[in-house]
Amino acid sequence: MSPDVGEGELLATVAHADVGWGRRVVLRDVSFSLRRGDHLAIVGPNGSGKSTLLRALLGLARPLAGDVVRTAAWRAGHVPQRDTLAPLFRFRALEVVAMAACADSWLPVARNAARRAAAEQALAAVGMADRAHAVFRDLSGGQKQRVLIARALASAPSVLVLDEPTTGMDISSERDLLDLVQSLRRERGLAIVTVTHSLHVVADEADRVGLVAGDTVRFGTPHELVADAPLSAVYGRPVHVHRIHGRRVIHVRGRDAR
Amino acid sequence: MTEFGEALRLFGPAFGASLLVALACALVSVHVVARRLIAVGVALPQLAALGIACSFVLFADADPHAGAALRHDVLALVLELVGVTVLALGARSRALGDDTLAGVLFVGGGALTILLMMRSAQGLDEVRNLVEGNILAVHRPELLRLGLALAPVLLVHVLGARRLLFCTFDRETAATLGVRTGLWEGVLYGSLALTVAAGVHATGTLFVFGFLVLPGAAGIVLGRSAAGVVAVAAVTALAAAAVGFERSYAWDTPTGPTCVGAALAVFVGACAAAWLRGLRTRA
Repeated sequence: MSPDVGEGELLATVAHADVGWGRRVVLRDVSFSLRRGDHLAIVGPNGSGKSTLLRALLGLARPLAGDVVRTAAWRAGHVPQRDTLAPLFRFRALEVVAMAACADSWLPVARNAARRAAAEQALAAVGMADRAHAVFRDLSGGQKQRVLIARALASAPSVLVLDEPTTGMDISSERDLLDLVQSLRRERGLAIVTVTHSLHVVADEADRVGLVAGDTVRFGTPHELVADAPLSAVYGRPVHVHRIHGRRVIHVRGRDAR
Repeated sequence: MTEFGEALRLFGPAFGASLLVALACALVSVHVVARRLIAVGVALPQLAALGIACSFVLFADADPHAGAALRHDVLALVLELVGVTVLALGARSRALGDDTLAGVLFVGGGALTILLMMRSAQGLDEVRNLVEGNILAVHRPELLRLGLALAPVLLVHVLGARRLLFCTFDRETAATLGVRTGLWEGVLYGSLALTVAAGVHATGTLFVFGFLVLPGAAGIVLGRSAAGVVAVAAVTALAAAAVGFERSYAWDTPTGPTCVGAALAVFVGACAAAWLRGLRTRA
């Protein structure tokens, strides 16, 4: 399958890019494009370079070779891992969301009402309007994630970029979050890029998968890549993908299991 | 005229200097505490003191009234820049933790400061002044110089508060939204270096370190919003510097340690208030 299959407006093109840290190449010759309405999931083992690729896509790191081109329509709403945020601050949820709404404003009091309204709307869109004045660090993992998605929405994005969005969540919160992301994609025509360890998250949600295998990334549909052979090869142990009630369930066996 | 009024008449510039340094430190301290840069906050004032000690030794024969303060500040800044470079290189190599490197700089800077000052004409009295501070020696010209040095710090931390807080809270997302995070990081560390260099010379290492930690800690413990954190830090610093200054005059104690003691008392009070608030919320 080609790494470019969508039909929506082109947002970004990654062409033969090498990405890494310093001068060390982690992933070689990565090529794909992203269009409005796409849902691309990047999966792979720990330390395989998923987040490095994400940083290059976001423009936080330059590719060591090749090109990452973002079109005029590109505007990223970044949803980082919750654990990377400064945990000491007692910011209210509304303040966290307003950070994005005010990113292009200089003076402390400029456009206060407009920023506040944009932040409140974004919180309402993720079902957190009633928690606007709660302290962010005191919220549950799922609630924090919703606030961070609201912050991303407040910047009027064309693409939502989620880094390990469901890590540490219970199954109910995880399902709610995945449903929220899908509804935002449908209603706002957003492109979604998800980096995750959770294969079951991408198996039934994404329409394209980038499977990090060694120093390369294979692109394909979930049907092609969330399957026994490619996953077993990447993870180095027997992985079986079953279907129960139409959804994929992934079973990993021990190396010594028969 | 009250006793404190008399003190203000005699030591007005010194009082102004303690408020100014306390406020600048407080605005920076929010970021120092939130970013867990406490060890760096300890090391930099010590390196600034070492810079001043170098200035005493290198320019031992120079006229003490001709540009001595400028020499002190410049060498303090140079030594701080050396320290920041060492910390940045250490962070990149990851061979040692940031805390360990900052500890090495602190003890090295402390020992060298004492050894160098032993060679100066003034000797250990000057070391004591560096540590405890000799705020009372600040007169109108020094206050003006301090104001000029710290005005940019106050300005960027007021006008750029939102972006600095965004960078401290979530630098990567700020960068994706077009905030020039490299520039703002430079502004933050530059304001830290400037505050420490100017502050140590005027008020001593203990005062600067104390006010780089305690107001920010009180703000984070008690503040219930971004503006609240900054406001509590600023009020804590100003109140502690004013009360400490007044008490040091009344009790005839060194000004720097007395002001830091007052800041500590406010911090303990903030912790108690936050604890009581937590109990009330749970009830």
